[in-house]
Amino acid sequence: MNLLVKSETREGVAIVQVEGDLDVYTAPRLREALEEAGASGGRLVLDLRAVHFIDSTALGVLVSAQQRLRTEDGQLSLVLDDPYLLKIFRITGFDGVFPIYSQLEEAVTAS
Amino acid sequence: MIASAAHREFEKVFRARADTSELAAIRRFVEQIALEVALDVERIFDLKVAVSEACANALEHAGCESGWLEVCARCEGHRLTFIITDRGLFKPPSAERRECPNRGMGLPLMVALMDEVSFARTPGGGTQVSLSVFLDKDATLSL
Repeated sequence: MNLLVKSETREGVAIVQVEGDLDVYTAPRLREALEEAGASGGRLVLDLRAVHFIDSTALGVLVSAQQRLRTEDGQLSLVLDDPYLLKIFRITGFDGVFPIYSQLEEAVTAS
Repeated sequence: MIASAAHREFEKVFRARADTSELAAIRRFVEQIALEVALDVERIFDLKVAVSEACANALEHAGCESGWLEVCARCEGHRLTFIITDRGLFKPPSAERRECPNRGMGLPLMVALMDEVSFARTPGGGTQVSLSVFLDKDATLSL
């Protein structure tokens, strides 16, 4: 299964939208997309509303991206509304690592 | 008539190439089995995460020298268990893993999401991970 990635910039905020499963197989593609979008530091919003599966490798990619962005005064925010995906963030404690929004507009405005 | 789907007993094996690109197919197998015993959407999700993590571990750490990864689904009594067995030798963490210091959440996820998790060494020196959910809570199927 491939990961579909779409990137754009809106109001100075880089937005990456991904669709598909985030696992150890697709994690390199996710890492690459986040590195490209966040290359100049700053604010990055990752839209996960079309993602319904995530594993620990993909979580690790997100946490690494957040650590990298924060050293450059940037931040990675997430948009997700799948309750089961949210549960994975809660169990791992990673819900405290990212601002999480259910709406894209909300995340862009707050970023 | 109300019948408990949990009373069915079966064993099914899914054999995949030992490659992470097969994890999506393994998760579809898990979903299909879980639907057969009428698990709810959240339990199906839990199983997909746990089995996927166990398979990723088998592929990443232990290697699958046969070139195949087998996932066995066993339904007995009020328990559905997925058994992931690898036969390969333990391999040290890869360079890629060292780049991801936040990995290592796989095992805690399995434990948090499953009703029972067990590990065993196989006679051949491999590792067997068993991931179980109990069906009593939600497996009553209206026929």
